Amino acid sequence: MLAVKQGDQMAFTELVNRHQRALINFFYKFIWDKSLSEDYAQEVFLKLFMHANTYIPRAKFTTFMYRIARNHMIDRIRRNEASKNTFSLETPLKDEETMLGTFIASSTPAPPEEICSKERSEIIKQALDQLPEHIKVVVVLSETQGLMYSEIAEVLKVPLGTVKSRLHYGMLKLKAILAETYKKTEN
Amino acid sequence: MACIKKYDLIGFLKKDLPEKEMAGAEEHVKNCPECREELNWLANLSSAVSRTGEIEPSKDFSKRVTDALSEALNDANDTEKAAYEQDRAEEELPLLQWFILKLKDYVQPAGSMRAWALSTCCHLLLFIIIALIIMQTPVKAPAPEFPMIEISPVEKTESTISWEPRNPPDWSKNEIGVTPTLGLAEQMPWDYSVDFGNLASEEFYPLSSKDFAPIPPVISPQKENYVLKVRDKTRALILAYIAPFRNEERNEFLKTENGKLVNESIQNGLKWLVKMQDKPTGKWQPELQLGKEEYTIGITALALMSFSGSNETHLHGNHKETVLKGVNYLLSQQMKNGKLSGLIGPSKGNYMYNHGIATLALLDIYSMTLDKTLLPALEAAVSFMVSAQNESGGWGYTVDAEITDSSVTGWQVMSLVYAKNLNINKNLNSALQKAKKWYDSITDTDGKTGYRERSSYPNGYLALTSVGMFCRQLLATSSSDTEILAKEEQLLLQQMPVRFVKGNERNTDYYYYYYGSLAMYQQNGPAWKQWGAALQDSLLNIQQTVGANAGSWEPVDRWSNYGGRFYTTSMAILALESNFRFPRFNK
Repeated sequence: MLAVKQGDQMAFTELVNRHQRALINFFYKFIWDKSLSEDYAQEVFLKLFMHANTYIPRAKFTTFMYRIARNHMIDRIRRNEASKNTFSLETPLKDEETMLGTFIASSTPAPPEEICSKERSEIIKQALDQLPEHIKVVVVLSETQGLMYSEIAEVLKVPLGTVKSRLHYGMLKLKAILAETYKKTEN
Repeated sequence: MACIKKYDLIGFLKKDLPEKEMAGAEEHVKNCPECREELNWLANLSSAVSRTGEIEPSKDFSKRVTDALSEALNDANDTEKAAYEQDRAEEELPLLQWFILKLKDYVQPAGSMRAWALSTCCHLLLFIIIALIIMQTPVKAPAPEFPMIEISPVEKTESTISWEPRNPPDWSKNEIGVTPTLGLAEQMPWDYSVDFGNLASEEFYPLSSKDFAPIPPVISPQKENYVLKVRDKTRALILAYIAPFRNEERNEFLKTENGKLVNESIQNGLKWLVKMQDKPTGKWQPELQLGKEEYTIGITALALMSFSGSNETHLHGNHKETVLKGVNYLLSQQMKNGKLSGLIGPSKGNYMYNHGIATLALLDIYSMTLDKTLLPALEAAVSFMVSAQNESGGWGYTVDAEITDSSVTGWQVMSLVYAKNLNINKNLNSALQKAKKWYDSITDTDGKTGYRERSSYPNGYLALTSVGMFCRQLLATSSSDTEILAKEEQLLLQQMPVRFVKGNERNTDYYYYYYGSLAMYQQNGPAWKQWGAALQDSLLNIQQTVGANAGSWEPVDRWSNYGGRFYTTSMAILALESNFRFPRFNK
């Protein structure tokens, strides 16, 4: 990234090769459209090149990249380009602790083997889309992009405790949604 | 189930816990069947989520990106120029062409219309077109802009004051030494505007707004051609050449313990802004910090004002280059008609915020430096602002917005008072009097200021009341204003700045803190002491101290979604700078 910062296009190509998969898949988890995900990823790579001067070497590059990617996505969603999204940026979050307790108390854990069914992928996609954006982004960064708590906190510029509570809330909400879905399927 | 709250099973699963917590969770899971089941469930869910929707990038993706980069680098300048030209061309479309363009939008759904309706429409349109051709009058498009207002030529008068060339100011001293003595009830502040004497001639107005070129004027730090001939000891020069006042007041404030703390906080904030400025363009980009790109100009202007508030300009201080770049960015965005909204959302969006804040920032910098290279841009910007005023006396989001709002209007009023005192435009009395009447019309007897109409505050009355209160202080004409101001002071004291508490974002409002601070500083006495202490406690405790964002303020207030971190940081600095930003009009 330091080479990119100095405007080295070769280094930029290397950077694209190294991170393209992660970035495209990050967007894909929100819009479920490969072509659009690649467009967004391309725009973010160009932004990264143009704004390389704001990169601080102390920060891990991937956190810098995801931060720009997330801002880009929010911007696009606000412009209604990513119309397939079902989540709302304005979804109010109730007190996370209370919600956590409610879900623990109310959800019947679905048997693990059921999650591995044929429709698993589609069902999980739909469940992910039901999460509010600020929760979903934590789940995606953690579970599909493999970021640690501290890295997610850096990307989103929120305290570590907030990341933990959002991830717990997100996972339990997913669990509740899936349990509900399986209940309907059984009926 | 209580143990699930106690142990972080997800962190345990991710092996992302401190060693001690990992060991504790491991020991617990061994002995707790419920948690083992939960852990099993989470592991399955985590694995399923991680494998959902994994795609391979297209083979040519990397090449596409590098090609796009090369193209972007080559075309960057051309594209900007072309977009600028196109915007300008659209503004000057002859009515007929504009009409035809608009017609295209309506022809599209015509397929679903009945034949007779379509025929009627076509005949009607044909009739209008023929009528227009017969008239053969060169008509300008009615929208999106409006006729430009000419600035009246300044009359040459013999000055009784002798002007002597002076050396650059000694910034450690108050040069003018004038203590404003005007009372709110006695005289309007704009009545003590500066008489520039002979300078108010061609030398001071080198270009009329008509001649103003679309090419961005670029100012250079080498040209220290600021006018320093202003010296009129018989008049209070406040809100005109503000540098001496601000410098003296700041120096006094910095001698106090609180002053040192506040200044340290401001300086850290400014350093963060310096670091985060987009160096090639000079702007601050809100979209990179959770804000919206359409407010780039307003956000850049807020950042610049936080510099000029601490005596940092393109000619003085430690951040000359940063301010210079920022100023040049604002100038580069000005359209021929004076609108400081440039290439971003030229004919749509809430651009009167951008325009009002950018004009105010340039006026503030002009007032600090009297650098006359800024004058053509300021003249044009002020003319545009006057033209955008609604009949009601206030301003809306856009030039043709019929709805007036008290928040947008605040920025325009501050700018016009400044412009009046700086002699940027001599015909502002009427506009300011109309604005004052409008604020009167939407202010309740108890002092609450409405948003778009009296007694209506969809987002609460506090921020709006603080805007109305400061505007009233600027525009006060009678003793009844003093009475309302006292009521407004009480309203603000009931909700002073508070420390940020998570989950209580709606109560944190930097917009309110900024305007409230400007207004309460004017009230002086115990009110300002209480407010100032609360403000300091609220802001200094949540400023970031470590990491890449050290010096900034978290974008956690109710308007952060629009301005992002640059907004919160600039507004926090601006609020803290109210300790020395403006003089007390009622001193």
